[in-house]
Amino acid sequence: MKLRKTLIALGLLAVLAIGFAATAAEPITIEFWHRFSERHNETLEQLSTWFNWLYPNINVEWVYQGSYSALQQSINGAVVAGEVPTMTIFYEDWIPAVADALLPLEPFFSTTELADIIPGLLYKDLLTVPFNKSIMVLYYIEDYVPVPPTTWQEFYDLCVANTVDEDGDGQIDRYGTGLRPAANPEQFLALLEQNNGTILNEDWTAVTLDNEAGVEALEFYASLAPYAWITSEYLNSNIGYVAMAIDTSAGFYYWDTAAKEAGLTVKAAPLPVGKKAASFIQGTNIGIFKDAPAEEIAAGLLFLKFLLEADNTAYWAVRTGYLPVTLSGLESTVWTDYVAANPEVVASSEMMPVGVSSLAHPNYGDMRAALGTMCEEILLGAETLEDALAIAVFELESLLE
Amino acid sequence: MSRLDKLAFWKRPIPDEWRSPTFWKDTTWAYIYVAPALIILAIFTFYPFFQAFRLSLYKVSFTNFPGQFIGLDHFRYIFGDKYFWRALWHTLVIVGVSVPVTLFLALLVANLLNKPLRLRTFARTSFFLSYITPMVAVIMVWRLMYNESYGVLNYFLSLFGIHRIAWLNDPQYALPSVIILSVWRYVGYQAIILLAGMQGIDQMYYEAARIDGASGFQVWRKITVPLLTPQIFFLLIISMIGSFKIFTEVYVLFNGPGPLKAAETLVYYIMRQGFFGTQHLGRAAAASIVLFAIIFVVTLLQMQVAKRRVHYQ
Amino acid sequence: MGPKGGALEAVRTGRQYVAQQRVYRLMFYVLLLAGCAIMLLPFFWMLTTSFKTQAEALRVPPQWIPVSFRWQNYVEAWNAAPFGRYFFNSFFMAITTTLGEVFTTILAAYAFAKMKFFGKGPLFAILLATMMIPGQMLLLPNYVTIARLGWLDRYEALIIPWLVSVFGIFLLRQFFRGVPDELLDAARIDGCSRFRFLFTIMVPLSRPAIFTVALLKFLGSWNSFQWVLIMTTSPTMRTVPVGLQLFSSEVGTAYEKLMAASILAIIPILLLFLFTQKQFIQGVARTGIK
Repeated sequence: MKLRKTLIALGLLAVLAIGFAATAAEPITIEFWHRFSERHNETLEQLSTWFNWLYPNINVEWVYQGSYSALQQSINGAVVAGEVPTMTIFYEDWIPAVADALLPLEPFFSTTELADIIPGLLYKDLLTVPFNKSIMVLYYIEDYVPVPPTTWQEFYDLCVANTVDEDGDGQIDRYGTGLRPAANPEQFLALLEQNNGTILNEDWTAVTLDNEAGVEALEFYASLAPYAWITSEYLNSNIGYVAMAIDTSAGFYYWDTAAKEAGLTVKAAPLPVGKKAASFIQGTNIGIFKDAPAEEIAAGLLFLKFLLEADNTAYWAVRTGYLPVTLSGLESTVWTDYVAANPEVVASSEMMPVGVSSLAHPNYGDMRAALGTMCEEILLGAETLEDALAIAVFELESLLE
Repeated sequence: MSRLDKLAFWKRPIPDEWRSPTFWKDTTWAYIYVAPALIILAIFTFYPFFQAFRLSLYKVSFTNFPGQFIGLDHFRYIFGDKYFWRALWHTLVIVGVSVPVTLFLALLVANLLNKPLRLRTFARTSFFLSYITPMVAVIMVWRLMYNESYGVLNYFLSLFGIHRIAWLNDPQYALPSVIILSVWRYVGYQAIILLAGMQGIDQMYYEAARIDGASGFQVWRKITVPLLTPQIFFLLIISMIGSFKIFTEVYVLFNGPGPLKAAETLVYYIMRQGFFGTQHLGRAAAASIVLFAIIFVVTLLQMQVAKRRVHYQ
Repeated sequence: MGPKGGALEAVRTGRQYVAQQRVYRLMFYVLLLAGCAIMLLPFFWMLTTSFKTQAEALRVPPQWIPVSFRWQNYVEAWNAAPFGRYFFNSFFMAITTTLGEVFTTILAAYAFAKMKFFGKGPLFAILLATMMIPGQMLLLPNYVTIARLGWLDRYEALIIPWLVSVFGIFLLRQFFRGVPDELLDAARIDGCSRFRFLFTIMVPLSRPAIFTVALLKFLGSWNSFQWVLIMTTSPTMRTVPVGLQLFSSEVGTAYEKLMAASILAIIPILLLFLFTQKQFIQGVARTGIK
């Protein structure tokens, strides 16, 4: 069954690992840094318990490092101080800063295993593998939008229809949608991807953002400005203020709670489809530090593979509201049963195979900031579309290295 | 000796006290006393001060320390970055507005608190509260009050028929939001200091003025304010230095640098370059040196002015 | 503007004067009350919101007095983040830095006030100059130092760098200088060592100034945000202000819980203030007297 399949797949690596473990003859502890909040602790513990049944001498020590930025600081600090854990989760834009400290994982994966990972999530050189991911979906308040739009024209029309001044006091009481250009340029990037646009070309030697597809996507994005709440706050912070929103699936719990308190119903739908269906995936990856002791690395690799197994990634997803990161995970009974019982997940589950994530470019952090600034300038009318685009392209070109 | 010789310390005669052995014994003891403070200062103030200069000349990263020497490239980048200049401008606006406004209001409040009114102690506490409470807690409630839909501020404005203001989402109102918060926070502290100064003014001045028949306003202008100049200058200096370093207010109010970075101050710019997103440590170090230079120059200028304008009793 | 005319005139102007004064008094009261209202509004809002439900907190027009008194907000806030730990860390950090700083400050201020030694002038000038250095300039290099010392995310990082305050040394030195030298000479003749003199005579004499130094340090330590934010990462090490900020980013916009947490964060300082009001305000006021 699962157990035998796992052992066969690992083959050489398992022998190595067991060999190390045997010579050591004492338990190995892998230190795994994360930032998952309290409510995910149980699930993490369960996963490590199951892993421990398979490998009784390997313990997984989950170390909570606090918030997003806290974890990033910890990682950077650890690398500087030379005291790295075995493995940690990474947000993609942190990876370039410490890329040299990570162990390239490609040699340890078979081609079938690699093909199983959702294509949009494969990181360059496989310095990391995906772990917890969420995808952008379309939230809509059923009370205002009975049927979700399936094309962007429908979306636009609904935005116009839902930007209303209900009590006639000259102030808009509800917007069609909400846009967070500086905080979440991924809203635009999803549009770009759907229009077959790209930020850079294949080999990262030129900026392609301003080609026809890019300009088209940007023009549509800009056309939403009069019908959107433009802010950096969370879009569910004032429920009912926006009728629809492109937001991450991981926030469904908060949307739902807020809606219920206000007496509204919120649902999730796949993003409308442009030239093709696509959405933006965000979340973390796992990486292993190459300076960790050899036995820990071997044990860490085993744990990594364990987490990527279909049933396990599905279990993690079911329990946390994230999504499975492998195609077999999406097809596993654990997941399909869950989807059948929870219709709000259908949207994200369907879009996962066509999701894309951020560029693995070393300067992506700065690039993303430039894109965010461009979006903000256009939406707030600080610059014309052409100027803002030109500024962004200039900035991106300087970051090409 | 000529004036120039006075400066050249190697030309000066050796001071007498250096000849006595007790002086040197005392010196050893003195340094032992100063040692704890000095050691910590050396490690966490002097060393990093010079280290900052060093870091600003290298392409520093966490895996590559200190990295490649790149000379003044970081400074070139900063001076060519429009966001740096904007941050500088924002900071200057904050300083230029909040320093005089806070001081002026504090003077008024101190005046009121100086009068024998019944509510004095209660008032004193209310004004002081904003200063001692942890900044982060206070900023949270201001964030709620500034909210464009359900914040109290907009509610008050609506009572006067004024249109709703998106305090935290409209680039035009980002800096005013920070300034209002800053004035509110420090007016009490400054008032207390001024009040203490006022209460320290010798009554004889007032009596003399009363005999001469001076009006209340004249008394205020010719006696109170001039005799308050030590406190006023003290407050000008520390409030100016403090305003140049504003960061937490922006970070917590906007959870970012504000819409279109409209509230980005110099220190926020430094933090953004060095700690948020892609970490450009060398650039942050360079920007912080510029900040230091500005504060240094401004403080020196102020002290020069203080020498001539401050009246002690 | 002496009294004009006869006695009647004097009475009339006298009455006018009293009436005028009454009007002024009223005006001052109104102004003062208005000022207090403005200053206290945020605190009032914080308190009332902490008892509201989320719907009440977001209501338009604003709900002044909550209908329900949701104590649960406090319970939920306390449980949602390890506030107990945050408080412990804040207290621990504040108390240790205060005690340590008072100690180093007394020693250093004494040396500068009462001893003659080589390099005293230049050293003091350098010390004063450091007050102009913005903390942010040192933040980054200090971060690297602390990372290399292995102190990141440990108490050492929160405490040791803060055991000195140049402002405190300056303040205390002023005060010590006010103590007449004859006292010291007399004590030396009686065979009292410098050290003993310092701690048995100088310190008790300077209690108010030392209290000021300690108070300012405690306050500064408790409210410290940026340093703690950068130097700590795990929640077990966070202090109250940083924990509060973290809480706000996790909880998003559940303002009612956020306000409850904020009130919790304020209470210790509030209590400290209420119990030491007079010395507190006097201490702070004293910093302005040169």
